[in-house]
Amino acid sequence: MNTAQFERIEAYLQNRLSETERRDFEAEIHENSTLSAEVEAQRKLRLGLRALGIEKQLLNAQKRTQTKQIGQIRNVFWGKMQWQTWAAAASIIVVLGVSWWVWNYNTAQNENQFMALAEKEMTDVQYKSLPFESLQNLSKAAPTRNAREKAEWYVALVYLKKGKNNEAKIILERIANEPQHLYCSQAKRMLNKW
Amino acid sequence: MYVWCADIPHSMPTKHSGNFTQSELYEALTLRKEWAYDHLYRELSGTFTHWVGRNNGSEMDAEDAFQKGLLNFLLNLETGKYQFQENAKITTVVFDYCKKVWLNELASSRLVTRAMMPDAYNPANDTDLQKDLERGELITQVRAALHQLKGDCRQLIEWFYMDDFSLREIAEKLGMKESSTKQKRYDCTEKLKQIYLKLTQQNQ
Repeated sequence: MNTAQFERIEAYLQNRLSETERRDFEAEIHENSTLSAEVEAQRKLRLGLRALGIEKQLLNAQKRTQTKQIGQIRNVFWGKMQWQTWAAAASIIVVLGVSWWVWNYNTAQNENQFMALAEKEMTDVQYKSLPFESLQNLSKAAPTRNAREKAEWYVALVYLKKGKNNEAKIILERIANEPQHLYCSQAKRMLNKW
Repeated sequence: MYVWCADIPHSMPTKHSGNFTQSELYEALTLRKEWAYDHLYRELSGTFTHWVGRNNGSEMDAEDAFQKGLLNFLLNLETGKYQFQENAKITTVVFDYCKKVWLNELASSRLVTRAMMPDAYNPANDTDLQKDLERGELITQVRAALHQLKGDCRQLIEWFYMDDFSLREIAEKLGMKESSTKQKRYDCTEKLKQIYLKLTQQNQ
């Protein structure tokens, strides 16, 4: 077989022959068994190579799609990771924020509560009207134990009224730890509010 | 951000767009457009694997049957055996091709495993399917013949018949004149044919 015959067979298999050419060629195939076998061999070879070409492209498509899917999974995962990271960060901020607010709120509430309690406890107008320094002096140097302990109690109340709870607490604990203290039970009751 | 290629009209769908008609998908498959192949994989691969899983098959079985079914469909499409049908969704048609391949596998192993066939379909009576599957033998022989071809000859055959490169492109790649490449293509195809015929005779 020469190049011209090869190209003619190719043109026939690719439907590039005119209607007349095709009819003539098919008649020739019918008459010539060698040509018929040649056309059949060429047809099978081309079909096989076509199939191999498609297979190659399908494998490429499979790789592309899988890579893309992995990429998407990674993106989703990364997106999730980012989302989770941001969510965790946001949660911490929210928790901290809420805690801070609650703490502040509670502190404020406590302060208000303690101020109100202190106010309530200050039933003695004379002690209540004494300057803070005088109360501190009295708590240390008053001639009677009752006066000293009452002054000490009022010092704690004044601290509470000023919102200085820590300072108040120190004094209240000291009072509560002295069973004989005149205001021991009141101090304990007050400490229970903490 | 996507850029338009100079050789693609703006109205043509690309692999990035999901908006195309069945006719455009059909056309793209005949032209072996990557986006069209990718579309079939994306749309069907997972669903088909799931279906095979529900019908006594493994993931590997699914992959194998999917490749065979797709190949059968695409070969029929390229050879004109499958013609575009206005009312048929291409993915549905391809799924059916793949499904039949797996049902045939099941049927052929049914006598051994006594596995229940999922429906009343009998692949042995499906002459179209049997013809499609017979091509598998032909493909195996051509592949074997191609592997026996050496060097430039094999490369040229692959570029021309499998990768759809033109003779001019191949001439450039091989650093040859186009006329010499044309002659070489003839010589190499002849060599391949001789190997193929020899292999088929050995197998008979």
